[in-house]
Amino acid sequence: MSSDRVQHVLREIEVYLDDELTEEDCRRIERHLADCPECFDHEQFLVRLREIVRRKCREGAEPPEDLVERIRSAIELTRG
Amino acid sequence: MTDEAETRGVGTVRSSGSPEELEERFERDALPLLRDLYGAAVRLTRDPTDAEDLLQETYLRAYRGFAGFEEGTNLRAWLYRILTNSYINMYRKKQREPQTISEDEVEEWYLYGKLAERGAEPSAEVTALEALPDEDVRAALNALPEQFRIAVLLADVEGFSYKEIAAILDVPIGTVMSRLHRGRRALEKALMDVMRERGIVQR
Repeated sequence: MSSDRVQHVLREIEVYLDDELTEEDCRRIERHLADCPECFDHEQFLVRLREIVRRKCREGAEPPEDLVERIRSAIELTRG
Repeated sequence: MTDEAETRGVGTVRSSGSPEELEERFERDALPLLRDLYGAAVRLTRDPTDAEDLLQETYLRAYRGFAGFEEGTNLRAWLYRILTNSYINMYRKKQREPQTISEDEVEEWYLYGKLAERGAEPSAEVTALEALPDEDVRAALNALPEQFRIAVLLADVEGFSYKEIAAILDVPIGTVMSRLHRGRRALEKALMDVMRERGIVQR
């Protein structure tokens, strides 16, 4: 594939992974992935990359236990 | 920005109901999402104290505007819209970093390709990424210009669709796609840099 064509397919794979392609375009990309080991490997890498970014960015964000109560109180105050 | 403007696009039909019913619904539907929104607030502000202030502001605004939220529509996206707008309003003045990513900075830039050039196996590439401390990955994401950082956070960390992100940020879907594409490529580039710094991949 030409470099431009590769870029175009990679962009479509990105939208495919976002689950935002039409049914028809999904099938087309899936056929391409089945036929093209390079794109398939790249796609698998992107899947893992997203999973890693999501997990590493989500870790350890627990709200303090009294936060919901403080927010309730703040709302009470505005009601007067 | 008014509460009216905030609720535009994500549930616009004014619902009926007595103040007591509204209050009950707010308690039942909106407050349980606090845990989810807290994580998002920490990621947006990068600071637990700022996150609490932001969350308090978000819930106060949401409470005031709750009569304008149509029951049965996407409450999570509606709250994230208020959260994101409140964040942008509260922290806009603090921003100093460049606000865009140039096309040539990201065009054809893929981490996978850069790692593959080094002749590594795909599984070795994933292992290299796994080896990065959480803080390094967060720092790489946090270093993105704000509008790209927010788009990538909403899609890849919070899990929203293009349509939901477009409504949250009040921009067209094409803009969401462009920010995501450029933001993700810039993130890959930043991850490569940090892997080099850490000696996980050689120069």
